[in-house]
Amino acid sequence: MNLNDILDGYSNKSFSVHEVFTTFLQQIDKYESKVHSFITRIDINPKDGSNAIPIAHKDIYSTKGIETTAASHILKGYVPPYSATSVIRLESKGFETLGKLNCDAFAHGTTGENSDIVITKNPYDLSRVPGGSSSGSAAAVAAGFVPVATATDTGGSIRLPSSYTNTVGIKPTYGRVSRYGVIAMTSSTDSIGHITKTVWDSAYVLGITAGYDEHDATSSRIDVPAYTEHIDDGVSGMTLGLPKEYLVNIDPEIERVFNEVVATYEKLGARIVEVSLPHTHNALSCYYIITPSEISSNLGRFDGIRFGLDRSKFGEEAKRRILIGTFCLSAGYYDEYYRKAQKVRTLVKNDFDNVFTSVDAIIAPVSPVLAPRVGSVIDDPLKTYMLDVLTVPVNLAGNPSLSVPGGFSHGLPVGFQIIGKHFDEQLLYTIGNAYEKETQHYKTLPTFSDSTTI
Amino acid sequence: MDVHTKIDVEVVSQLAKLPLSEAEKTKFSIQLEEIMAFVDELSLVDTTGVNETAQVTEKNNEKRDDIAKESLSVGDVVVNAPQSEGSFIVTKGVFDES
Repeated sequence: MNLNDILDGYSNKSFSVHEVFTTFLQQIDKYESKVHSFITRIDINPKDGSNAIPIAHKDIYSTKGIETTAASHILKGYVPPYSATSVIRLESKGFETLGKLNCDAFAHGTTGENSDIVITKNPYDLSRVPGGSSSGSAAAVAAGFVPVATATDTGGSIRLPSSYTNTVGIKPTYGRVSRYGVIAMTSSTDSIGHITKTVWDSAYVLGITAGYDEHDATSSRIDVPAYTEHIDDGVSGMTLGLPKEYLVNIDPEIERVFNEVVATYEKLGARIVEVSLPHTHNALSCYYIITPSEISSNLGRFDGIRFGLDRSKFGEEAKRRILIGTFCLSAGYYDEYYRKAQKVRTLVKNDFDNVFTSVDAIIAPVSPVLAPRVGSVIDDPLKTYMLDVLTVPVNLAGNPSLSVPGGFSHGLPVGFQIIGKHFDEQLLYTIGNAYEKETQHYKTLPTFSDSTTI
Repeated sequence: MDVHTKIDVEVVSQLAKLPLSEAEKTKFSIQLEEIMAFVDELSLVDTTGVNETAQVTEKNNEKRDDIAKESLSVGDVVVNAPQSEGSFIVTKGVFDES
């Protein structure tokens, strides 16, 4: 059952809170040993008569009193003395956590295979990755373990796993949701979001987490609209841009599904125009200078003195990024690398600002390839970085993007993204909901089998 | 900028206070060279007259009143330290080599 079903059911008194929790816990008991989405499980007993809703949090969200590891050995045994703002806001609305979800360690990764703890599998094909870094979050929602899971998107880490798992993932505008209490990766691009089965569910949750927080100086004071209010308005009369740079060098199956998405929006009354984001091909290099640089600074706090183990306990990818970042910020190289990347970042952002003068939103693929098989890319760091080529530009520019199930290729989910102007999430939900109502892909449940027909 | 930027992993790991084994130093040297060869292409982008973007909000100099508010208790602050004594966290000596 999805979130809307639960809320309706409570309102109509169709079922009790224990029946809701039992449904999800039974699903976990049945399939978690195949999916491996959790790092920590919580024994939960919701109060009789409460309208509690199950949730699980990506293990970079600080949860007071619950071990929080960032999926890294260096934080083994770390129990935060406080909770992230998002966690507190969700708790205040009745969300109770079933546990902490696996991810790439410190959110560094695109497949989930950089977790120090376990490799999460894709419920639609257990031989493949669910995508990262929010691997456990996407897999848990896809598998029916929770109706919503918190996640983060710094370079694609919500949209990529959502697109591989037939789930809806929102990367809000940078600053829309407080970063306080979420273990920092790249402070200037970290976006705090979540994954759900449906577009309405996603909109409902964003209405809870979004909004100014005095603990996060980058959080926006812009009012939070009612994200579900115009969700059924449809796309008739809207102009959607297709960025030509996003349609080259992609797998033919991705192209085929995306063409179906475009055709559907045309049928629903949207006008489709080709647009150009000329600095798209520079965005990945730009991102992989800025990101490791800010990571090297943020991971400096892991000193093994105030908390955590010693720095040798970082995993490989964290060490790689600390080294690259320290180099790019060091004397003699700072101008050539970090400052240069920040200038290219301006060009990437300007591309989006220019396009948005003539379109309401941009639609594009999320991944250039179908979900990779476990082990097929992880030995080559550059190959894993390439999976982000269509997602990182949005993070550099700070725009919001919604990943929506687009269709399937031989049973494997293929998502697409809807990119909007800053703080225009309400429109993204309208556009995404129109496609979901027409196609209802969320009804195609995972098989939990070892392979698809590819 | 050099066409093939090579990171001196030994020097950088000391700057970063990141202990590495000899095997890690060798492996990372090769991998980082490949990664830097990829990002080096940014040097070809014309950024004449372009300002840097440090962050994408419109915000500047967020301030608050200088009033002390409730924060973590001392107990909460030291609870995760590997070594502590009462309200103090135990660290290595600054001049100790480790």
